[in-house]
Amino acid sequence: MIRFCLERLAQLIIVFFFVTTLTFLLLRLAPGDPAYILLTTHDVPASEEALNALRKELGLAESLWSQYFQWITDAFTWQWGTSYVSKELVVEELFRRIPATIELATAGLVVMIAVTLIMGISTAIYSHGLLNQVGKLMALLGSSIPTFWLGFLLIYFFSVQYGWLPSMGRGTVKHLFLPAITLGLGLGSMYARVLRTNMLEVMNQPFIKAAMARGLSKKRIFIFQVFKHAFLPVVTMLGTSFAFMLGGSIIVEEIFSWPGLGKYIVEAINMRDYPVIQGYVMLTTFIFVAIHNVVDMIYVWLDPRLRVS
Amino acid sequence: MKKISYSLNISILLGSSLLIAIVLIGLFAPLFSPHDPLAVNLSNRLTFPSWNYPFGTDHLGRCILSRIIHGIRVSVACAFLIMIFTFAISLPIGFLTGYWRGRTDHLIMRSIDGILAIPEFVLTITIVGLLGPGFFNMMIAITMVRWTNYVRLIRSLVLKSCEEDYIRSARMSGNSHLRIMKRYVFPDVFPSLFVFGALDMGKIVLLMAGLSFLGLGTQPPTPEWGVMLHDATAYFQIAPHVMIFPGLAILFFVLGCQLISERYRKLNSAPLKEVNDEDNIHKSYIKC
Repeated sequence: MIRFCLERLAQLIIVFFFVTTLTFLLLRLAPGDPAYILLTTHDVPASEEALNALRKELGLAESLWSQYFQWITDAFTWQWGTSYVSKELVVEELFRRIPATIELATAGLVVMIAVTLIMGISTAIYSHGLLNQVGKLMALLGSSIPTFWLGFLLIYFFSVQYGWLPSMGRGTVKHLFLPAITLGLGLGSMYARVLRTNMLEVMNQPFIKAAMARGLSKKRIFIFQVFKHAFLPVVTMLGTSFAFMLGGSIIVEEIFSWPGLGKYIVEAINMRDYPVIQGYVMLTTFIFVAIHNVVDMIYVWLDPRLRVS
Repeated sequence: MKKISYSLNISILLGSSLLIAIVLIGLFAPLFSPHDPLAVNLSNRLTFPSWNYPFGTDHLGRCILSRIIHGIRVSVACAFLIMIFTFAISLPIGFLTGYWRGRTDHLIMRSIDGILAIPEFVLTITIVGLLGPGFFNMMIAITMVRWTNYVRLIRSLVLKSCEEDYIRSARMSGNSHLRIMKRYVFPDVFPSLFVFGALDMGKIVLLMAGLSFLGLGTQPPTPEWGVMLHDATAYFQIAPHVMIFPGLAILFFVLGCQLISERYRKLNSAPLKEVNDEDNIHKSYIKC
């Protein structure tokens, strides 16, 4: 287990290294001179002298290799520069907004899991009925519906028409409902199908027949044997879906004016705030890969078969 | 060659007729649209659906139906172009890595794994952010992100195809590599690719709409579905039709793609399922 964890840690570092290199390259490939953009953001007339001075300050005058080396060391020591717009440290700006995004993603995940469990188990039990058709339709719609449109519809019905729930901002639990549903509903109904198929597959296995032969109650078999077995693959999907939530939260935050990372990055992109964009990619990748590894570990812990190999 | 049995099936029928209808309407957009999609009429702002304006008008008094119909051209054509770019990049690389395995293959696949470590939407949005918002930059960004998926798909399909006996015999009878790829491997791989591509069209349209919605993709006044929804943000509370119809357009198109691909996956699930499994990152982790 320790070796497994160490391997993962090494992988994490490699991926991080790769991503920092990629963001460096992307920034160099991006059209436009950062110094020029920085000056124009602050409405300073871009004279040749000012440009040169700023290039020197930003380290742009040095060779590409030394810039790259500087960038890598900075990236690993959490010195991600200062925002062009607010002049504050990128790391601080990002970390201030993380809790909101994590809160939203977690709430989305909760909705997703709830939908997966409820729809998945009930459609597995009543596998050939109206409920199953509803589940099928939901999964199909869930994978085709644009997130932002779903958000609009929810706002329109629950906030504008009936005024039950607030449509924007962050604060009470009430504020969380609509964004979380927007984020989690589609994915949940898709995973419900996976859970259903898994459960139906497991039900054909010999050990279920054996359990039935031993006279265990149907309910008991369902909860302790079938579900336990069928839920394993779903656990791994949680990791992947968290990545989706990080990406999807950009749009959801924009719709619901949620003060998180996603809304910030859209603002940064519109202001051409390069250090923030870079920092954002590195941070999300880091979170994403870290969560993936944690999920993997949980998976190994849950499934003894994997430990042997 | 695998034979796909095309039994007449409701979902395929529904999906394909939906898509064909959408594409036809898009092709003959001027015939179907009742008004000029760009004609501003401020005295007619945000009117609800009526005979003259079946889907109502938007905040500048433009006919929403006409804008949606012309939007087909932008969205679908753009998705199609992105698909062509993606294949242009990923076909050679996928064939290269799948046909000649070895060090190059290993190197390419590892770097692709690295790219895939970044959440797709995050990476797309970053590339758009660095290049600057706009129609072409959006296309470049989506292509730059999506080709990795295709390389993995093509590689695994080619790998599988190369195991077949007839490829071995083709090789033994002295065909050149290029000829084997062209005559034997490609036709074997093509049907799966085609279907995967069709399904992906829906995803690309969704992605583009998302980017345009954030104001990073297509810019107004171009009639595009995502842009229309972006414009709708400020007005949908008083005039919900400005939001409902463009969203439905996206939904129907993506639904059409999904319906077709879902059925196909059931009929011929082996290769695609394998790829989907491979996409499960934990498994590839555990393998290595």
